[in-house]
Parts: sequence; structure tokens; C-alpha cells
Amino acid sequence: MHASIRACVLLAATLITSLAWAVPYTPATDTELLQALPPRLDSARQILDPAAAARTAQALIEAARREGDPRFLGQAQAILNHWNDVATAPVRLLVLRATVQQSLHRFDQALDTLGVVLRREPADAQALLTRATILQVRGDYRGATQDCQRLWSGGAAVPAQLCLAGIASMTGRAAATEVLLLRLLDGVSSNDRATRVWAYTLLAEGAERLGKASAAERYFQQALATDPGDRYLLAAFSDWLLDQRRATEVIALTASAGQDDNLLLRRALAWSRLGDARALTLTAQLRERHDLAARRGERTHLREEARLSLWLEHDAARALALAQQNWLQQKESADCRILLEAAAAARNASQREGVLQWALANGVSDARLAHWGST
Amino acid sequence: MIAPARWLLLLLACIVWPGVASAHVSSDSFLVLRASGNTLAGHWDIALRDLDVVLDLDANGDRQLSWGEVRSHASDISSYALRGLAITEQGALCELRTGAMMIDRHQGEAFVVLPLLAHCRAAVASPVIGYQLFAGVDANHRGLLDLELSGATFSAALAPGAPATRFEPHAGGRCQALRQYMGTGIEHIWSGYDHLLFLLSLLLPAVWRRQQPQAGAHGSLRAAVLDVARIVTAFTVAHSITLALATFDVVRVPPRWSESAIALSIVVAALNNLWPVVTRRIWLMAFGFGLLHGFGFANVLSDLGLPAPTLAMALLGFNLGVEAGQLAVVLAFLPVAYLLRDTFFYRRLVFTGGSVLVALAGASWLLERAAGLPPLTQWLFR
Repeated sequence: MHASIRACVLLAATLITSLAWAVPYTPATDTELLQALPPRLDSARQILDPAAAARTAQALIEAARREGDPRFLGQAQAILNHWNDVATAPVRLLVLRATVQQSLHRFDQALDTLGVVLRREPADAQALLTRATILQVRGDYRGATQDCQRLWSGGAAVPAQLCLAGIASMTGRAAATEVLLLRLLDGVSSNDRATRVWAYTLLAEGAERLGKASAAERYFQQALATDPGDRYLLAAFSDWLLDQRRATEVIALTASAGQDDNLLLRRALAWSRLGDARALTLTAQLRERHDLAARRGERTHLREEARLSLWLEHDAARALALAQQNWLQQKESADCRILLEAAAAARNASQREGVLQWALANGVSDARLAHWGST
Repeated sequence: MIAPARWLLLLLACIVWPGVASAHVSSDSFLVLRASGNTLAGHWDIALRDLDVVLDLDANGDRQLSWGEVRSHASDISSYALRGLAITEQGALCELRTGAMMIDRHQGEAFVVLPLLAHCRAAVASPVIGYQLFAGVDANHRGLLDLELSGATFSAALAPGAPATRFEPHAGGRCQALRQYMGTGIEHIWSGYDHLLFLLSLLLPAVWRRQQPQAGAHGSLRAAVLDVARIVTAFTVAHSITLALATFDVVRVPPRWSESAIALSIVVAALNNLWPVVTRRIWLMAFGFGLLHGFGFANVLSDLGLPAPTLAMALLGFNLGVEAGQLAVVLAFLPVAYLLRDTFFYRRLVFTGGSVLVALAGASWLLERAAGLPPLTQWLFR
């Protein structure tokens, strides 16, 4: 009896000490390593040449996406801020600025910038594609379709098809989209990794919407084979694995891909499903991150915060508030899902009705809609 | 008795476990300042990663920063930082000085900790702070400021290059803040059914305490009041202690553990009414479990991220509020319970029936919190 009490006390002490850690200190030796640095990118220099600025900003944006590190976006923005006059700034730099804004989830700003670009250069493919993506995320399917069609008339056939495929998949034509995408992939060179990954990702999401589990897995695997480090893909596949009750595979997937908040969230969810106490530490860490973002005045990851609140902190009311706020900004499948789940947990039936009506009105069709948030 | 080898293993777990690898956040610096007379004192935590972008600290190019590399750039770091901060009081610039650099970790990243001291020409009453750190380098960088001024705390996210911000305390800031936190405390205990249910479970049998026979007619009332007072005081003292410990991060308990333990305490208290195991010195039980309940209040204040002196005042206000709210409930309960104590209504329905219901509620909470299940009430009222 006494031994097990002692064990309990020590276990409690372990948990407590592992959570409380940060105190300022003076390192004992000069050789103590403090911080790992990413590969050096030329960003701090004052760049006044537009071409050089475009190259550097592009490199920073790609680094941000690859590493899942928003710091590079801030650095890109600092360079692009030298050309603040939207009437005279080079179009290329404005498009890059809109890309940064989109990556930071500042959709209104991005749409404003893209509006300026497209008034000056109505056929700019990158701008059209970026705007179509944002509009789709926003749930403006008509506006997004128009931009995709303008892409098509501008001659960018493959991006235009992918653009249209994304919208079609969301709005009830996932089966037809699958056929189209497979045909498209046949014609795309195996060196064109970006297009292949994009196509496979759309195929996987389409298969999910149709409720075809083995097809979804196949497409996810093919996408990951093409680009094993794509963070969006890793997060999407992790979510699918969690739904399939394959939480242990999520642990492996998220460990090898480095660490960023999105993947950490899936990791915490997986640990939570497995009953592993490490979920608690990670939950606390993620909560700190979100609180820090709130202090900065940024509420751009509301979807993830809502999932954290609902599934890891078991706070349905907070999750619902966050999911509702998120819904004002974004209307992707995952946003729909967390809203329905939070509404169910908070016993808000009218919210559920509202979402289903929105889906009906916008032609959104998803085999999982009826299932989400009903238990 | 646990074998020594297993003790060693558990001890190693204490030391080794905290290794959570670094992860990615936006660029933040943390500026903590406290005004006192003509000076502002505090510290400024700046990320090593950010400083490397500007100052190129990695001398040997191995993409790892060592203390030696950082230390050799100490004066560069200090002067770069001071160029990024301007504090003015009544139009005159305050003189800024830094102290010996230290290191701290936030969100898994290493930060330089610069002790700061600002000397102003006049008493610091409404300082204007201009922030320029990493201007032109990272447009997304923010300086997260915690400023304590005349007992009030100000939090701000300063953007490099944005217009300077003026901080002015409202009149009566300290009293107002105290009252605000008291309100939070009262609201918290009244909406925290688990705490109240635990307390009431302990108080239900208290009205039956009998004083010694020779004490006279008012003996049993006096005994009852004394007993209630003992229990409530013990509970209050206990949860105040752990609330303070948790708020100042001296002790941290994961919410799932503390919430589950609180639910368990409710079950135990209610079951003890039905099958008395502890009949004397109930106040000890109130104290023991009260320690757990304190953790249940803690996240309210620690979430605010206040600096220690303001947190102390917030804690005082919050605790007073909790006690006031608690006292209100006890004062409402006690006379009614005492008058009804001999009735069938009280004995069977309130006491026995109430204890059963409380035990069930506690058990369902325990299941929810420990097993992480969705609220069972959701399932019931589907």
C-alpha cells in the first residue's frame, strides 16, 4: 500500500517537473549549444533592386512552406514593404506580397492586393490562381470558378483544370473530377512534382468526400511518394489516419516530418487517442502557442485552436465560439467539420441546421456531412 | 518498498522527460517593465534566431549557436537592441542601460535575456514607448510588452516601425483592478458547481453536531456553527495555498489530473455521508481535498500572463472573491439547514438523496475528465 502511494507521488512529481521549466540562466561553458539555425537566406540586407527582391522573397516564401516556419514570411514581407505604393510597385512583387498575406491567412488583405494586380494585369496567371484559391477557401465558388476560367482562356491549361477540379470536388462532382484528374496525370511529366502532388492531393480529398477509404489512402500515398515533406499533405493524411483509428501511424508520420503547430496538433490528437500522457504536455504547449498568437493580435489559426479546445481541452463552448469565428473566414471541409462537431458537443442544434442549409444553398456535397457531429 | 533500481528509473524520467524539441513560431520578443519612481526596470527577451539574421552570430558556420558565439557578440546585441527601443517621459528620452546577458527558453527556442534599466528625468507616470526592433528585417515581428505602471498592468503587441504608444493608468487603477478580480472570483465559484458541491457535501451532516450535553439549549447550534466554520476555513486555507502555488507556477498540475481529482473528492465526500468512514475532524478532509480544489481555479489567473506583482494583487482579489462567493453560499445554507435538521425532509431527501445525487454527479464527472469522454449529459439529452 505504502509503496504504491510513493510511486504515485513520484509519478506526480515527474509530471510536475516536466511541465515547469523556463528560468533564465547563464550557460556554464562557451561550448554549450543554444539554438539550431536554418540554412542562411539573404534577407537582412537592404534589397532595392526589384528583381533581386523578387528572387529573395520567392526563396523565403518557399522556405516558409517547406519548413512550416512563418518567420521567413515576415522577412519576405519586410523586403516587399519597400514597394508599398500599389499603383507603381512591380506586379511581380505585388503578387508575392499577396502570396505572403495568403500564407499568413490575411485573406482580406490578399484579396485587396490581388484586386489591384488584376486591374493592372488582367491575365496574370499567378494572381488569378491565388485569388481563385482564396475565394474557394472563402466559399465563393462562383467567383473562384470565374478566375479559373480566366486562367483557362489565358492559356494556362493545367493550372486551370486543377483550379476547376478543386471547386468541382467540393461542390458535388467529386466522381467526375476523379476521372478528369487521372487523365490529367497521364499527360503530366513525372518531373513536374508540384502538379502531381496537387493532383494527387485533390484526388485524395475527392475520395474522402465520396467515402472511398482505400482509394483515399492510395492517393495520399502516391502524393507522399512524390513529395514526402509536404506539410499540408502530412496534416491531411494524419487527419485521415485518425479517422481510420490508425493513431499509431500518425505518431510515426508526424515524428519524421519535423515539428510545426499543425503537425503537433495531429500528434497530440493521436497520443490522446492512444491514452498516452504526452498528449497533456503537447496540449499545454499548443495552448501556450495560441495564447501567444492572441497576444500578438493574430487569430488566424482558429480552426486548429477549435480542434485543440474540443478534443484535447474538452471545452465545447470555447470550441464552438472559435469554430463559429473561423467559419466567418474559411469554409473548407475541415472548417465545416469542426463547426458541426463543436456544435454537437455544445448541444447547439440550430448551428448544425445553419451549416447544412449553407451546404445545400452552395451545392456543397460531401458523404461525411451527415456523419460529422452526430453521435 | 520499491527496489532501488526502479527508483533510479523514475528519477531519470524526471530529468530526461522534459525534452520537447524546438518548433516553429512567429518572431516575438518579450519586454517586461515595471515603473518605480524615475525608473523602469525589467528585462527584454530576444530570440537568438532573430538576432542571427541581423548580426550573423554563427562564427564557425555550423548553423548552431553556442554560448561562446553569443557571448562574443554581447555588445553588438546590446547596442542593436537599444537602437530598437525608445522610452520617453514628458517629452524627454529616458536613458537605457542593459545588464549582463542571460539565456532563457520560450516555446522551445533560445532567447537572450537582457536586463534593462531606464532612467527618466521625471517620475514615470505616462511613458511613451517606441519600438523599432527588427524594423525592415521582419515585418511580422512583435514585441510583447508587459508594463506595470502604478499598480496597473498593460499588455501590448508592439510592431516595429509603428507609431509610439503612450501608456496611461486610469485613475483608481489599483482598486478597480482588485474589484474586477474579486468579481471574477465570485463568478468562478458560483459557476464551479464541483467546488460548491464538495463543500456542501461536507456541510450536510455538520448541522447535526451535538455539543456536550451540559452546555445548554444553544449547545447544538454553537457546535454546528463551529463545525461549519472549521470545515469552511480549512477548505479555504487549503485551496488558497495551492491556488497561489499554481498561479505563480511553483507547482503545475495538468488540468486533467486536477479536474479528475476534484471529481473524485466529490464522490468521496458524498459517499462518506452515506457510509461514514471519517466521522471526526472532517475539517482535515476539507483541508486535504481543498488542496486539490485550488488547482482547479488556477488556470483562470495564470492564463493572463501578468507579471508577478500584479499577479499577486490579482490573486488576492480573486481569492477574496472566491471566499466571498463561498461564504454567501454557506450563509444561505446554514440557517435553513439548521432549522430543518430534524425533519424527514432533511434527513432523507436532502441528506441521503442529495448525497446520492452528488455522488452520481461526481462519478460522471470523474469518468468524463479521467477518461476524456464527451459529457455524458450530451449522450443523455441527445
